[in-house]
Amino acid sequence: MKRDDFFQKLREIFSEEETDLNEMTNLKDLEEYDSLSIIPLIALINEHFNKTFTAVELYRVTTVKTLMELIGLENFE
Amino acid sequence: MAFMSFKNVAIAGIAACVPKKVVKNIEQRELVSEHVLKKMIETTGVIERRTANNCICASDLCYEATLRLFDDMKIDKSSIDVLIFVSQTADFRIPPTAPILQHRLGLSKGVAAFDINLGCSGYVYGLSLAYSFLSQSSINRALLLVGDTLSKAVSPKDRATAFLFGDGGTATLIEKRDDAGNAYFSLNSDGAGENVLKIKAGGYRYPSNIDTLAEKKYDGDNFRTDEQLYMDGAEVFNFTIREVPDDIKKILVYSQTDLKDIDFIFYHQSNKFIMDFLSKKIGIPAEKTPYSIEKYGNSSCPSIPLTMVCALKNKVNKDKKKIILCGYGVGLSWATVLLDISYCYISDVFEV
Repeated sequence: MKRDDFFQKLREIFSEEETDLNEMTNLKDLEEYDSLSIIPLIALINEHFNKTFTAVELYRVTTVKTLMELIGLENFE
Repeated sequence: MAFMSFKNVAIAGIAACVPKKVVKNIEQRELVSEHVLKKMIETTGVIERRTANNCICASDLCYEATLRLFDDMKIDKSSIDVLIFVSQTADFRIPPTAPILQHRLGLSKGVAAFDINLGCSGYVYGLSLAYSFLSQSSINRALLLVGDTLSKAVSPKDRATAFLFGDGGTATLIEKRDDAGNAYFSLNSDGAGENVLKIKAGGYRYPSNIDTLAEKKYDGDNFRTDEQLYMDGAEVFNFTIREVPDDIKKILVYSQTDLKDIDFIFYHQSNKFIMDFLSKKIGIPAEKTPYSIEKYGNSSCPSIPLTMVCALKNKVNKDKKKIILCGYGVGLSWATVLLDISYCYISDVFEV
């Protein structure tokens, strides 16, 4: 997946359409990074990368970059 | 592998009963902001739900549904041979509820009556048992009563569950029919996920005491007692997308049926986001997967028959309908059935 497409999908999940979301963005700083958005995030990863993570694994993630590392950097262009 | 197939047994009729009290989620602003509430409603799909007051048990809703079904279909009570009550919210810990319902409904003492404690997979499990009984030559009619009042088991201060659950009771009549076609079941379990949906205390592992009745703070700002329902929503989601699409594929292979020949899939009404995602994975269009979650919430074990009554009224008997029913959740437990619904009487959803 193209990095910019991934960032756009994250913006949609976290209702941050206006934010300049990039690799350095800390997910924990986003207002809507909570139990409600974790399921759409799991779904996004499952749909596009065919991988499954637990909520505990995803809550350990800090920046968007660490999320991409968890998914596997080889999956991004 | 718990695969089962049956011939010449059919669902003859279904009725559903809900409490008259309507709770609109958008009005429940004590716990979260309106913005979060709107997002929650959009994700779960629950606009409103029904909740039973202290005087109404799951058995009462099932009892009323049965009276309606018997009345509509002119069923002779003495013709019932089996009564199965599926619920997680029985009247008492002891005795079981099914014999109480046998007596209350005025059924014969020759009826085999028993309870099954299963949640979201319970309707399909119950159907598989009813079909098994009807494979006996001496058994002609079974009554499957499936109901829950799970809204009573959740904490109003736990965001994971407070807006999701509604109450309901259903009655399904199963009987022999020479032209019923075949029914195919797949039943599954994975107790490794016992903690994903759980009321920890109040049973015999952790008996009720002052501590289990005390409200405690969990994960952020959620409060509940150990005698109220805990749900790990993310793990329920992971389990569902891992197991349900595969189980539906398995039943299609087992029954040698093409997905395009299925008229409807009725999911347990867990959560709109989850059901939409399942349909995407399975590859079935939205018009073939009716929902009732927007009106009745997640009612746990009765959600499948309740949705069938909502969606199939006036739509059966016209042509042959091949449907899949799929329940998944607490246990963890999941079950799928493929059957014909061509001759089924569908009553209205009514209130008490």
